[in-house]
Amino acid sequence: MNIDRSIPPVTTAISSVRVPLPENSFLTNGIPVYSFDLADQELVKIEVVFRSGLALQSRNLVADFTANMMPEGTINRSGVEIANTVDFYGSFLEHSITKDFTSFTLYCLTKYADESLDIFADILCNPTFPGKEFETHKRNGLQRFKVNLDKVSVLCKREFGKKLYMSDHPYYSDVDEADFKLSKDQLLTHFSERLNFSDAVIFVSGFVKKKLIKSLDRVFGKIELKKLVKPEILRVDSSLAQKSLIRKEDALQSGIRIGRLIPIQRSSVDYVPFAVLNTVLGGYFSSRLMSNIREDKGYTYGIGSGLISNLASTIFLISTEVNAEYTGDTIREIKSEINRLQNEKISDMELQRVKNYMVGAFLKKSDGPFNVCDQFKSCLLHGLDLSYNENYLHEIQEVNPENVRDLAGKFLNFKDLIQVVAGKL
Amino acid sequence: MIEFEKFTLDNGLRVIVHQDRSTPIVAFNLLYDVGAKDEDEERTGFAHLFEHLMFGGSVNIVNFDRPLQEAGGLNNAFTSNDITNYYASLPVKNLETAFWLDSDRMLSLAFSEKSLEVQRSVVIEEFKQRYLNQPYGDVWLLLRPLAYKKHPYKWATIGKDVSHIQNASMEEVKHFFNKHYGPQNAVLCIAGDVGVDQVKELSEKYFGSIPKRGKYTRDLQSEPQQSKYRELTVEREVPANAIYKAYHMCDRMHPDFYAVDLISDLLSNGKSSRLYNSLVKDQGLFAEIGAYVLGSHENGLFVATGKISHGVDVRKADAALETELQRVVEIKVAENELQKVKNKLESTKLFNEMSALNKAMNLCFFELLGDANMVNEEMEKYRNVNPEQIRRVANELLRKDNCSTLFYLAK
Repeated sequence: MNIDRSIPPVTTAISSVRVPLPENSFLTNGIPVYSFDLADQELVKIEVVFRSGLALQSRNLVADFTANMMPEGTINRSGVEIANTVDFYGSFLEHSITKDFTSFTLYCLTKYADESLDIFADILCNPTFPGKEFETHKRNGLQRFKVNLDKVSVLCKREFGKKLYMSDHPYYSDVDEADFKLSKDQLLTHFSERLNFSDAVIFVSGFVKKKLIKSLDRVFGKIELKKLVKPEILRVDSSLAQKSLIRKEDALQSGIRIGRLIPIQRSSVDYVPFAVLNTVLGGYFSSRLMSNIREDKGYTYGIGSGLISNLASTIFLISTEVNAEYTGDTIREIKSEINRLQNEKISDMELQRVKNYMVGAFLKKSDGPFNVCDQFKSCLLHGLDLSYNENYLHEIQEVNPENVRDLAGKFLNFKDLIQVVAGKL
Repeated sequence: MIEFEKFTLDNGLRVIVHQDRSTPIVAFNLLYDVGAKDEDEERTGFAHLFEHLMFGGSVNIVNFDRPLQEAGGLNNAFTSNDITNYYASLPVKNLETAFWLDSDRMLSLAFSEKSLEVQRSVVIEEFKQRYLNQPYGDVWLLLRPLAYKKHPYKWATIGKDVSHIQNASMEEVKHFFNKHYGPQNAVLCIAGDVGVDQVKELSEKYFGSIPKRGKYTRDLQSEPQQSKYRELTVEREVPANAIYKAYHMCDRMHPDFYAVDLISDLLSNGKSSRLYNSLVKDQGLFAEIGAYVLGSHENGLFVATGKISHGVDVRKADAALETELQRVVEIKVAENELQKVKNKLESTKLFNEMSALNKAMNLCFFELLGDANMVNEEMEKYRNVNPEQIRRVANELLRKDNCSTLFYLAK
C-alpha cells in the first residue's frame, strides 16, 4: 500500500473526560469515607489522610520520624511481626508527608483485606516507638542526609526552600545535622496531637464492596474522636527576590532553581491559565525551556518548570542541572525565554498543541481506579468544588494568547524571582 | 492471565494485540532487539545515543514529539545492555498517530548533523548527571569490567568513556541504524480498547512497506567461567563506605533463574527481609542494604550491596554480609518464608497488570526472549521452586570464586 507519509493522520480532540464521583459514607464514629468501586482485579488501595503535615511539626524531622517509626512496633505486635505479616499477605504499606497532610496507604489483595486492615489500624492507633529501632533510624537517616548533601540538586532545593518563606512561617524548613537528635517524647506528642482521627479522611479505591466498608468500620469506627486545637497557617502570597550561590568547585554540573510564590490559589480563576503558561514555558518535552536549553543548546539532560499547590501557598519554580561551564548562559537563556513570553503573543497553533497535550496528560492522570481517587482526593483536601475536575478541560480551552502573555508579564519578572545556584557560576 | 493475539508481517515485524476495555488510553510499545551488548568496544554508548537520535526527526516528519502532543499523547524510551524500548500512550481514538510516527522513524531517520551534535551534548550531560556528578554514580562503570572480562556486558549502557560519545560520527550512526533497526528485529505491542483487525490494518498500512534490512546475527564473546575471587578498592569523595558484590548467574530463560530471583527476594524484598533485619536492624553494621538480580538476557549478575554504617570496619561489614549470604546455602529455607516471598511476587504482578503500558512492555520483552505467552507462565515457575532447589542454586551461586567485590571507600 502506498501512503503519503508526509501527511499526519487526522486526530480527534478530547472534549470531555468522564470523571466518576465517589460513594460517600461515614464510619460509626463519624470519620468520612470516600470510595470508588472501579476495578475488575481484586485489589484495593486504602488511604488514611490526616490533615496535618510538616507545617505543624514542633521541630524539624519530627513528622518524618514519627511516620517512619509507627510500623516499627505497636502495643500488640513487634516490628518484625508486622513486617513479616504484611509481606506474607503480599500487602504494601506506604506513607507520604507534605506541608499540609500526612497520609498512610495500604495496598492489598481483597482476599487478605481483613488481616491487612488489622495490622494497618494497629500501626495507626497503637505505635510504641521502640528505642533500639529509633536509634537505628536516626543513625541511618543522618547518613542518608549526608550523602544527599553531596548532590547539587539537593543543595539547590534546600537553599531554594530557605529563601521562599520567612523563617517564622510554618512552611519554612531548614534541616541540618543537629536536627537528628530527636527524643521519643517528641514523636509521641506529634502522634497524639497531629495524627488525630477527628481530623482524618479515608479514601478507598479498587475492588470495593460493602464487605470492605464494614471491615473499615470494624477497625477504625470505634476510635474515640477528640477534637484538638490546630493552629492556623496564614497564607503567603509572595516571596522576596534574592540570589544565592552555593559553591561546589569540583561540580561537573550546577543545579539551578529559579522561582517564587505566586498569589494564585487553585480556586482562583487565574489558576488554570497560569498552569497553561507553566506548561508552555517548561511543563512538557517541547516546552520553550526544553526546546532551547536541551534540544538546541545541549546544556542539560532535562529542564522544566512546575507549580506546587499547598493550602497556604503556591510555588512556581524552574529547575535543572546543567553543564557547569554553561551555568551563566543557562540563566540568561531562561530569562530570555521569559521575556519572549512577556512580549510576544504565543501562536494559536502552539497554544492549541499545549492544550491538547494538557488534556491528554489529564486523561492519563484520570486513568484507573487509583488515579481517579487521587484526582478526587486532591480536590476534596484543597476545599475545591467537586465539579473542578469536570470543569478543568473546559477552562483549559478558554485560555487565550493574551492571558498567557499578561500572566507572564505580571508574575515572571526576573527581578521578582529567587535565583539559587549550587555548583559553579 | 493476559490474553493476546499475535501476527507477523511479511517483513518480519512481530505484532501483539492485547485488548483492555477498561481504559480510554492505548499503549503503543515498540521494542528493538539491540542493546549496549551489540556495540563495538571502541564505540560504546552507541545504542543509547541512538535512542536519543530516534527523537530527532525522521525522513518525512521533522519533529517527533509535537504531533504526538497534538494528539494528547506522552512518550519516552529506554536502553539497556539487551534492548532498546520505545513507548507511547495516547487516547485510543488517536492510535493512528503513533503508527505514523514510529513507522516513519523505522523507515528512516532524518540523520541531521544538528541533531547528532545536540544529542551528543545531551547524552554527555546525562553521563555527568547520573554517573559522574552523583555520589556512588560511577559504581557500574567499575563493577562491570571487574565481573566481565570478555563479554560485552563489561561496559555500561551509558558507555565506557565520554570520548566514545564525543567522537561518534554520522557514518557510524547510519551504519548502526541499518544494522539493527529493521522490522525483523522489532516487536510491537498495542494494549487498550482495540480490536485485532483494526491493529492488523494499521500495521499493514504503516509498517508493511518497510523493507527488511540485512539480517543481524548476534555473535558475542562469551565470558569464561570465573575461577578466582576478584576484588577492587577505589576511593571517592563520598560520605560513607560502600560494598558491592557481584556473582555470576544464569541467563533469563534458564530454569534456575526463578530460584536466583527468589533468593534475592528472601534476602532483600521488603521490611521483613533477611539482610535488612540482620545487618541493618540487629547488628547495625549497614545503613542501607539490598540484593537483586540484573535480569539480563544472557548470563547475568546477582548483586548484594550496602552502605556501611559510620565507624564500622569495612572488612567486618563484608564478612557479616558474606555470613548472611551463606545462611541461604547452609540452612534450608523454611516453607512459610519461601511462601511469603512468592506471595509478594504474585501480588506485585497483579498490581502491575493494572497498567496497559506495563502489560504491553512485558508482552514485548517475553516475545523477544522466545514467546510472549511466558508472561502468563512465569508465576507457575516461581511457585514450583522448592527449598531444596533454593539451596542447590545458592550453593552454586554464592561461592567466593564466583564473586567480584568492589570496595567503594570515602576519601
